[in-house]
Amino acid sequence: MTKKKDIEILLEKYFEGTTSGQEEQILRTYFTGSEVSEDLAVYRPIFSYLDAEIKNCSTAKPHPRYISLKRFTWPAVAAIFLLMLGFTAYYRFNNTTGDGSYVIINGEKFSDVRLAQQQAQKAFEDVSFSKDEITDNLIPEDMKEGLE
Amino acid sequence: MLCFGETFVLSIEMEIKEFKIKVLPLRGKFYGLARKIVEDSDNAEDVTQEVMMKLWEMRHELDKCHNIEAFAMTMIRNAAIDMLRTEKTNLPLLEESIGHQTLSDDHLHDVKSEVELIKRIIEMLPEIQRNTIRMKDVEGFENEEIAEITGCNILAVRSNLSRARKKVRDVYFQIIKERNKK
Repeated sequence: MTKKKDIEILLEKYFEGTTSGQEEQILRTYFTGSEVSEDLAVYRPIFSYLDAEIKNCSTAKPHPRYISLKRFTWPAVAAIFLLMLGFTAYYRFNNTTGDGSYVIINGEKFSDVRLAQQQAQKAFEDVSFSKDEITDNLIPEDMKEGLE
Repeated sequence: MLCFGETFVLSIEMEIKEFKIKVLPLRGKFYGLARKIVEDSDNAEDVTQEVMMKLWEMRHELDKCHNIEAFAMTMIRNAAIDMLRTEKTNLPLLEESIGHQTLSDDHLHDVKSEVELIKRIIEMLPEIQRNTIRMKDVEGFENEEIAEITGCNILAVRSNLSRARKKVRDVYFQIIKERNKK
């Protein structure tokens, strides 16, 4: 809660025309709140009126000044954090294939290491080329004859 | 998010910039005409400032106006003649008359709600003070920006603002005091 002394200082500045927009916001918040000191309560209608006018005005033509970044910063940070949390969680739970070795045969998953190694070896053999195959593929027939 | 806020602020900055390009250069002419009519430099300055504030208030409609200068000069002429009339008929300016006489005349005492009372008091202020309160307290411009828009000295803005706020406070206190006496 803002101290009464601070409000008195701000009030003095307000009537001298030297308060900033932010300081005026503090005054409006204080005087439209429920804990207004009794000796200052006499100023309440002034700030209540201005507060209401600002609200009316912002529906007609929104003034950007005090729709400040600050109001959006934390919700934005929270939203980004939640989004990241959501993605992480999604990947954790959907990525059932986690760590370790496994093999999928006909849609079924086997996590036996030896079986996985066997299958992997087999798969590598299927796609590997022998020396002869490489020679056959890379060197044209007529050149081969020359080499021989 | 940062971008959103900045874009939002930027739009008003753009409006100020546009106003400064379109209207502010004409200020000298406005003052010249006002000075010719009212023959007093302070009053001419007040008339000019008043019209500058009005023009700012209607900035969105100015685009449709073919000749801003001619339009604004008419406003200056009217405002200056109004000021002369007020002086010639020897009516005290609202600023001075907002004391006892107007209080009873305008039935401010009958206004029940205190917030409504504040509204009425502000409505009774001289135009220049009322507009300054509006720009600073409602629309949220800083004194520097008001000075920039109206092309007048920042001290004059502060002084008008202070006079306006004090007037509202004093008249309001006076009414409350009289009410309590009854």
